[in-house]
Amino acid sequence: MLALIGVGLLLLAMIPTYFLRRRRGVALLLAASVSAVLGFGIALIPMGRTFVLWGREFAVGETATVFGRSIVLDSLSQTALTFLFLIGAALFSLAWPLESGELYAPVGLGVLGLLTAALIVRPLVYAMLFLELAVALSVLLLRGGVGGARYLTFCVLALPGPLVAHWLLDMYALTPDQARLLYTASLLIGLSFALMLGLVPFHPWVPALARRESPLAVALIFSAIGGTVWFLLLDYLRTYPWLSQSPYWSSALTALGIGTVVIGGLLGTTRRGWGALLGYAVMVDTGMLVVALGRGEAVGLELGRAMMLTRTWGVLTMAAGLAAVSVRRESAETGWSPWGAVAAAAGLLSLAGFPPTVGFVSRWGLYRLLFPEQPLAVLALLLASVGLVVGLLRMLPHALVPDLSRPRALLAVDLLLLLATVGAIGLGLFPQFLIYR
Amino acid sequence: MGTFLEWVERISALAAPPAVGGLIIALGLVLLARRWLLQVVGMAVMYFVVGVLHTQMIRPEVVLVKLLIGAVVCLALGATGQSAAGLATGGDKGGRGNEEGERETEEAAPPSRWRNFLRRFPRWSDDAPLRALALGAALLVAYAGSLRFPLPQVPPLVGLACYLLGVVGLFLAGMAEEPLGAGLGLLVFLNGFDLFFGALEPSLVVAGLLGLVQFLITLAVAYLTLARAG
Repeated sequence: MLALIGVGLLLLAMIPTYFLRRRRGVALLLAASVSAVLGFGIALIPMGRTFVLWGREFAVGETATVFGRSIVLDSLSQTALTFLFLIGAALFSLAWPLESGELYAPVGLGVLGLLTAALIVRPLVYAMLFLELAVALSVLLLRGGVGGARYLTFCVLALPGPLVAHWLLDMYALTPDQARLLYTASLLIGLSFALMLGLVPFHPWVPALARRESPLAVALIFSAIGGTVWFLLLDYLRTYPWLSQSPYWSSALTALGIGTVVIGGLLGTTRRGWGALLGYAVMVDTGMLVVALGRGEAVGLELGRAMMLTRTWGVLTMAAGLAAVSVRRESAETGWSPWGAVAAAAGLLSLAGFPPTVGFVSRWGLYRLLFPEQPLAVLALLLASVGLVVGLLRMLPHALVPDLSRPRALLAVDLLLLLATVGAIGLGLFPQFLIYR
Repeated sequence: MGTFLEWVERISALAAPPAVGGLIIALGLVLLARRWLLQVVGMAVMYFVVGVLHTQMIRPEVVLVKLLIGAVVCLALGATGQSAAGLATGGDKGGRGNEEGERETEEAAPPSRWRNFLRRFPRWSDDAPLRALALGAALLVAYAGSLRFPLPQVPPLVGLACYLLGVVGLFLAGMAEEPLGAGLGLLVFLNGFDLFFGALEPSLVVAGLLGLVQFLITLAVAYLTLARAG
């Protein structure tokens, strides 16, 4: 019920933020406040606690029914929602000085609302429909480049798989002797998630989207929508445990993950601009996540969750840095600032898993897990990360050359960028906040 | 309303070879034509034929809702095509900008008997042979697919239509150079899936959410098209 109130609040908040779109600061402040309140509310309110609303008693975490569909808030969706709302709060705060789009606050809130609905509704077939709605709505944040059309195409093509798989699983429950139904269902689910995560060979939309579009819009897609896809995948694995019990599961995921990491790392060495580098870094990180998931054990899943958090920090830091660099170039009055380039570099190093950044923490765990059995795979993963660093070294000299020679004062946005950069390194040095065991 | 539903039930008798024939013509129009107006007309015919095919499996009331969604989608696509053509030519010429440009070029060249003869036929783009080949391939794949892997819970002709919509949608989305073309492909693909999934899951909520997905995709495609043209 609490999560349902959250969905309602987010969708309702779209209305005032839309009318306040000319006053971007107020709209973004309102959006950030709603997200932050919901994030801390979901994280801090204990499950099972009761409260009274409109004369009726509700318990946090109890299953509600809307139009005959269940609304569930369990421990996994609680983590996912906290993650989602706090990302939203961070992005809306960063968008205030760094994003010029008027619709960022209302559309961002709508996307968060639909993603929340996707995370709490059952059966999962409805979750996929809400996810598609969020994807289509998020396109309104883009600038109309070819990347937006590709992103929409790949995500829409992913829709039929889980829906048909749901029907196949219902059929399997009636005729358990037909193992072929299970095989087809797992193939369809796997194909759909590969399309939405941008795994090789369905990766072209990832760099194309990041290359031309606004960095903070891309950050919302990679972190909020990408994170929701990841949590839904975990939910699928929990709901249908036979998926990960297949003999091909581990080898297929490891091959797909390593393929994505290697292609991302190779393409990352090319000099196609900062945006494309962000896309390749996300490809590498997604591949690593899939490799961790392929381990299938509790440690693998725990690592995957930690990698999701570290990836988000890296994406947000890099996107904020890129947005700052582009804002500076557009407005000559504010002068040149190196902090944007520094934040972009720190974010990329974190996504590449370079020590001592926060990205290294989870990578180190993955390398240690894989090394005893697959040393060559670990070597391939390390070399792919080096590819991103090579790409960064090719881009950095150009980014650090000042466009404007006039000295300038330190702005509030520089402090935000500095905070994100220090956080990327500080959390890498003190990782106990992220990994509990 | 009762009269309309009776009318829908009456035309559901068409849901046989004529409907599939109409679908092939509509998809051919969307795939081969490069002018937005012809493409939107093709989409409108496709939505109507898919509605007719739906009547074999789901209640006419739900079909009516799907037809309304199709009408709204086609109107939005038409408005987008017209605005994009207007932006591309610097004024609102209703998508005839390219045609007039070509006519000016032709006027400069010396006329010939063959050119005068060919001018009487509608003009096609340079990649029309490739697109015609793609349509032929789609027909072949759909026919072979519906025979080799028949879809469950749907009559054979409806299965053929689902395959046809799916394959043509994929081709359209893959061959598109502009967001509008990609959007048309996605909508055609989704219609094929909707036709199939409507038989598997006749729930009103699913039908409504799928309709909403189509509507938001149209909105997103319109936004991308106009942002790119502007």
